[in-house]
Amino acid sequence: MPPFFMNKRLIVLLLGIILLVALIGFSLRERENISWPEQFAKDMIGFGQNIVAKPAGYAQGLIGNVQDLTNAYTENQKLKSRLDELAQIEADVNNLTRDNEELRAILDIEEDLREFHVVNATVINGNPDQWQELITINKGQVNGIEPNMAVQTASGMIGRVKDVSQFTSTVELLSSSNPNNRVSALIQADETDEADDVTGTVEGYDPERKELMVKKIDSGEQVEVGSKVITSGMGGVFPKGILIGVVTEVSPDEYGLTQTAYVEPASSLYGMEHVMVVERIAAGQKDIDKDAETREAEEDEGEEEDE
Amino acid sequence: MKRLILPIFGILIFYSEGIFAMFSPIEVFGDNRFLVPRFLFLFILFLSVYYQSRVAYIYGFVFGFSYDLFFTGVIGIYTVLFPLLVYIALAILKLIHHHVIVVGFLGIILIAVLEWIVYQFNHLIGVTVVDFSTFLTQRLYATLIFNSLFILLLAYPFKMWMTNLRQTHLED
Repeated sequence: MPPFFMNKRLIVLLLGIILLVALIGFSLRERENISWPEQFAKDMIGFGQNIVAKPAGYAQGLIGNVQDLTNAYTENQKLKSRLDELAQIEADVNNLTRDNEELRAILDIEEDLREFHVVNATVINGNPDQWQELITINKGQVNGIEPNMAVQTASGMIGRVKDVSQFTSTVELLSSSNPNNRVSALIQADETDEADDVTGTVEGYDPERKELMVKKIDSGEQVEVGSKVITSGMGGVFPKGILIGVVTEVSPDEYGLTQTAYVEPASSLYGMEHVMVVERIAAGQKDIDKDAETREAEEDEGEEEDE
Repeated sequence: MKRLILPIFGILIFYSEGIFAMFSPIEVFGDNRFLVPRFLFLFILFLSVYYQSRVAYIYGFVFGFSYDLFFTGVIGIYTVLFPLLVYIALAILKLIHHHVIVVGFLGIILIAVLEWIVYQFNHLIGVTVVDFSTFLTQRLYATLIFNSLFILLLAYPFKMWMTNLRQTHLED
């Protein structure tokens, strides 16, 4: 053996580089969910993080309470002025809900893309190096969370579930520049008429403007500044109608074929403590495929029995 | 119990990074400033200088691996970078005097190197699109100041504590 390979340090270094490249390649490839050893390790580490995050959460809450106290007076004034409208709005909502149910019953529509239920979760940590915009929440597969579900706060959408282990899951925020992180969106030109809605996809984030970009809007469409942007419920597991943000600027793209709308996120993407994971009730394409598969399998079995 | 105190302290620092990250970025002078806690790396660096280098390599590898797995999801970066930077630090410290201030400065310089490598890597795989000047103003300066505070507060206590621990462990 030549003396070159006798150098122990060099061998360790070479092996290290090979291991590094292999592991990076392994973790960067396209995949539905992380592998079970990763899930297991994440659960083990997440268990401790959960415990450590509790006192930190209390401290954060305490600071928040003090800040709330200082704002209490102005907030009270604002709320009082809103209160008068509230009774009227409530009556309207009741009326509309009843109306909607009746009309649905007449038309025989069972599934609604808008319907969803939520799983409440607490954020237990952020990503310390802050390159990938990730947060970890304390709910996992046992709580019914699956990859790609939408995640929102009370004020609007913040991201989607990236991967899930048994007791924790990782959420990728909308502000991430990951090209796979796309959300099909609707821009509501006129809030009363759905036919005027403009479709587009939320693709990417402008870190300098701190705004989301909705791309691939047809250049013939009129998008007004101030329109609301919601999820469209198309393709995937998001329900329809989760607020994403408000349009602040519209500009044509470099070739003039499509337009890009800059959208200010409705919910702050930093410093949230409690989030909701949204599970759509209407079946997604995957469920339909799965149903078809099981049905086929049953039919096959039936045929075999016939033979 | 005495044997367990270092791992437990390491684990607590590991978790604290995830919690500190929830308060960042903060807005200073009209721009977002990302404060990246590198306490774990500093802890491992001080271990390598004032405790045992062998233990520091093991901690660097194990905590680096956990860091990749749990926080970033890209396995391999910190697993390699933590031990590698410890190796570089020890190589430099062979040439110069081991004063605690020198070690502190070296820590800050190595954090800058670490941040730069991680930035280049994330740029390469397309996780981030920010250019180098934005990286400097939004991240690097704020991160270095933030971690200098940690060094100012804890460098001397770390030194005393770890040298004490080493002596008691050697006597056993």
